[in-house]
Amino acid sequence: MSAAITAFLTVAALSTLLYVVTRTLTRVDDALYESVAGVSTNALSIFEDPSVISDGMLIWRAGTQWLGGLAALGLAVGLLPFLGGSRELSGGPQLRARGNDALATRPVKALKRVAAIYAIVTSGVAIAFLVAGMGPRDAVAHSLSTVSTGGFSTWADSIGHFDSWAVEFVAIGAMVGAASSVAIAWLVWRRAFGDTRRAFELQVYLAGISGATLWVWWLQQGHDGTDETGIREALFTVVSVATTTGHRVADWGSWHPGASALLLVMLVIGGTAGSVAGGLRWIRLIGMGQFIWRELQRQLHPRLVRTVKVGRTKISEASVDRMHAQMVYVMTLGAVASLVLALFGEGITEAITLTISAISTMGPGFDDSQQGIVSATRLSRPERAVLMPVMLTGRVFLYPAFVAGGAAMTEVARRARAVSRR
Amino acid sequence: MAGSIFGRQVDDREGFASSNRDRHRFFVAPTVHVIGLSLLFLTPGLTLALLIEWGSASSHDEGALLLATAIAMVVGGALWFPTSVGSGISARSVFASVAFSWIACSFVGAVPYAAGSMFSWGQFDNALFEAVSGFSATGSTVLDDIERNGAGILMWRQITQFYGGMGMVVLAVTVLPVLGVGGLSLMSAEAPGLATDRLAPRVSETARTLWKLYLGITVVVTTLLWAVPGPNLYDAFAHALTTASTGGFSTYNASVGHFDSWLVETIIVVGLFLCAINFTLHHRALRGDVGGYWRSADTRMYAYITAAAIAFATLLNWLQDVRDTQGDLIETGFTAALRDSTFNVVTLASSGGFGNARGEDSLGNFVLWSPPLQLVLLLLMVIGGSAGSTAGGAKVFRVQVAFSYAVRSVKKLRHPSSIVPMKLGQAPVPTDNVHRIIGFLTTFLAITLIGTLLVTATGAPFKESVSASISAMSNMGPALGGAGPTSNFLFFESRFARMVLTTLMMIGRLEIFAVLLMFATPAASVRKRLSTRS
Repeated sequence: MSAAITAFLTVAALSTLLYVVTRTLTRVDDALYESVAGVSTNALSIFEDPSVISDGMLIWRAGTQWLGGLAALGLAVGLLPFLGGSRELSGGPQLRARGNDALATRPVKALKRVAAIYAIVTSGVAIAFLVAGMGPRDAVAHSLSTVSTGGFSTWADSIGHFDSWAVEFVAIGAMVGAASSVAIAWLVWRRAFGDTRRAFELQVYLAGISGATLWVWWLQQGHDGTDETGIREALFTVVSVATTTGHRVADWGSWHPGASALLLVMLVIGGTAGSVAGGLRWIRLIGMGQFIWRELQRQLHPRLVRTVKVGRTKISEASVDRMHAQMVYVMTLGAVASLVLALFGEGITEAITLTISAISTMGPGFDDSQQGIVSATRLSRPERAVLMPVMLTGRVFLYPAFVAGGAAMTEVARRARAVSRR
Repeated sequence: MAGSIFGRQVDDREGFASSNRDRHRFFVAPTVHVIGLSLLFLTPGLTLALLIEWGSASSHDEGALLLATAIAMVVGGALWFPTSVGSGISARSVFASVAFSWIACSFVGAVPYAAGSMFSWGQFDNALFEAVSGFSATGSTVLDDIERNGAGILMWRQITQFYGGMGMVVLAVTVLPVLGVGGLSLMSAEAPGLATDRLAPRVSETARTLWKLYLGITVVVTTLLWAVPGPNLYDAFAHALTTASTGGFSTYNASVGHFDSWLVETIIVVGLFLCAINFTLHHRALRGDVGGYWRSADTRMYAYITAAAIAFATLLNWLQDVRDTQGDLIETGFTAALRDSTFNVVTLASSGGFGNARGEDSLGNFVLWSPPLQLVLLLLMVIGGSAGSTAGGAKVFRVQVAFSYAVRSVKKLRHPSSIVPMKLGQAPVPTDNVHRIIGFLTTFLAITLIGTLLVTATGAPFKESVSASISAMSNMGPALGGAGPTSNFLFFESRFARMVLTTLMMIGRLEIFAVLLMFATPAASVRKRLSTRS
C-alpha cells in the first residue's frame, strides 16, 4: 500500500517537473498543485482558461488524470482485495461470468486485465468524441479525463463549450461507464451480458442517478426567475457529480439550494465499487442501510442473528466493520480539513463543500450566496496546500493512507523508544 | 434521560401473544396506559402556568391554559383509568408507548399556544413547533416577540422544557407498579444514552431518584439566580427550569443577554455544564464518591472538549477582528472574549441554546464569529453532552467508541489475526453495543442529511438548512446565519421546512429508535391479521 502511495507521488513529482520545465507554470507550488489535482483525478484546476496551454501539455494534463485513474483502479480491484481488504466491497472482481474465469484471481493477472480494459474503453470514448464532433486534441484530452472521472477540460467552460447534445451524450455514457465496476466491463467483454443482471449495486446506482436528475430538474423549474434548466442539463450535471468527474455544462453552484445540496450528497456517495470514481461508493450506502435495518430489528429482538447483504452478496462482519471505519475516517478528515480551510479564510459552506468534493475526487465546491461553483483560481496558496493531501487521501480510498500513516507512526514510536532506551 | 452506557434489556413477548386478548394485554393496554399517565402528569404544570397567568397583570390566556388542562385531564384519565400495564411490557410496546406519549403531550402542550393569543388555530403548525421544541428541550422558537406574551403562557413554555429534560415517561414510571425489565426499557427508550443504570432495586425507585436529583438541581439554580442582582423570583424559576433541562427557552427576546450580568451567566453556565453530565455520577457524588466524575471516561472527554473549545474560541475572538452586521469592528478585550466564548461554547456543548448577546451586534451573537469558530460550534452541537444527562446530540461516549472502532479496524487490517478489544476508558465494550452505537450514529447522520435535503428543497440557504437540521437533531436551539441566537426559525419561510425541523427535534430527543419503531406494534398487528385471513 505504501508502494501505491509512492507511485501516486512519483507521477505527481514528474508532472510538476514537466510543468516547470515547459514553463506552462512558473511556480513550483502551482505546478505541484496542478499535478496533484491531476493524479488524484480532481477537476479543481488553477487554470482559469486552459485553452492558453500548448496542445501537448493539455494532453499531458489530462494524461495525469488517466494515470491517476489507472493507479486507483489497480489499487481498488487489483491490490486491495488481495491485501486483506474487503473483497465483497471491492466491486466484485471475483464476479464470475458463467463458463468464464473471474476478472481477478491473482493480483498480477487482475492488474493486467484492468489496464487492458481501461485502455480499450479510453480509445473507444476518444473515437466516440471524434464522431460526435470534437477535434482530435479535444477528443483525446477529454477521453483521458472522462474515463478517469478526472474532469480536466481543454476549455474554460468545459463540455459546455461544445454545446452539442452528441458530445454530452458520449460524455454521459463514458462517465457512467467509468463509475461502474470494471467487473461489469469484464462481463460485457466476455459477452456474459446476462450475468450483469446480478450487479445489484449498479441497478441502485442508475436508479439513484435517475431520481436525482428528476429532483434537480423539478427544483430548477423557474428557480429565482432564472431560465429553466432542461432535463439534458440536469442529467449531465447529476451524472458529472455522481461520477465525481467534474465536467460542466452549467454553473450548478448558482442553482436552487436544494439542487446543490442533493448534488453534494450524490458527490459524497460517489460511484460504484470497483470503479475509478471516488466517494463512499453505493455498495457501502446499501450495506449501511442493511446494517441500520438489522440494528433496528435488534431493538425488538435482541438475540437476532442476521447477515448484512448487498443484493445476493453476503457482507462479512469484518467488512461491515471496515465500512463504518471508513465513514468515521471520511468524517474526521472532512472536519479537520474544513476547519483548516476556514482558518485560512474560507466561509463555512465553501470550506465544507470544497473538502467533501476533494475527498470524493471531484474538486469544485459551492458557496452560500449561490454565486457559482468555487474553483481553485480563487483559493489562496495555503488553501491549495491543505487540499493537496486531502485530494490524495481521497483518491487512494483513505484506507491505504491511514494504514500507511498508522505503520509510519508505529515505526516512529518504535524508533523513539529505542533511542530513549539508549 | 438518564442512564449510562450499555445493555438494554427488553421483554420480547412476541412469541406469547398469539391471541387477540394477549396482544391487547401485552401491546395495546400498556401503551395506552403510559400515554394516559404521561398526559395526566402535564396537569400540575398546566395548573401552575394557569395560576401564574391569572395572577399576572398581563393575563389574557387563562382560557387557553384552562382548555389544555381540561384536555390533559379528560383524555389522560380516559386512557389511563380503564387500562393497566400488568406485570410487564413488551419490547414493541416500549417504543410505541414512549413515542406516542411524546406525540400526545406535544399536541396537548400546543393547545395553549394555538387557543391563546400566541398563535391561532390556523397556525397550529407553529404552535406544535413551539411545543415540540419545548418538550424536546431544544429551544428553537418561531416567536418573533416573546415578551408580548403573558407570564403564565411563557411559564408553560419553560415548564414544557422541564418536563422534556427528564422525560414524561420517566415521570410516569415513578408511579407505575413493578414492571420488571420492561420498566427499565421504558426509561431507556426515552433516555439519552443506551440504557439506564439502576440507582435502586426497583425501577420506579430509580425513576424517583432521578426526578429528585433533577428537582434538586432546579431548586439550587433558582435560589442562586434569585440571590444575585437582576432576575426576580419568576425569572429565576423560569430560567432554572430550562437550565436543568438544558433546554434554552427564555422569557425574554434577548434570552440571558437581557440581564447583562456575568453572575447570572456564570450560574447558568455551571448549571448547564453539570446537567450535561451523567446524573448517575451526581447521585454517587452526593453519596460521597466525587472521584466518580474523573473516573468516567465519558465525562472526562466532555470536560476536555468543552475546555479546548473555550480556549480556542477565546483566543480567536480576542485576536481576530470580529465585525458586526454593518461591517464595523467590535471592540473585544480578553475579558469580553472569555465571557462570551465561555457562555456560548458551554451552552452549545450542553445543547442548552441560551443566548447572551446584548443586541444583534455584540460578541455574544455567535453568528458574527469567524467561520472556523462556527464550524467548531457545529461540531459541538453534533457531539452533545454525556450519556444519561439531559443534554442532546450524538453523545460523547458514542463518538469515543466510533473513533476507537475506526482505529481498531486499521490495526486489524495491518495485523488480521490480532485480537484488539474495544474499550471505553477501562470498561470493555461488547460488540453488540458497538454495533448499536455505530448504527445510531449512522442513522443520526442519515436523518440529518435527509432533513437538510428537505429544508433546502424549500429554498432555504445551505448553511442555515444544515445547521438548523443539526441543531434540531441535537436538540440545541439556534442555528447559524439567519437562524442564529438573535433571530428565530421564522427565517424558514416555508411551513413544510418548519414541520421537517419539528420532526427532527422529536426524533433527536427520543434518540431515533423509539420514533422509527413506534409503528412496529401496529404494523405487526396488521401483518398478523392479514396473514391470518390469507
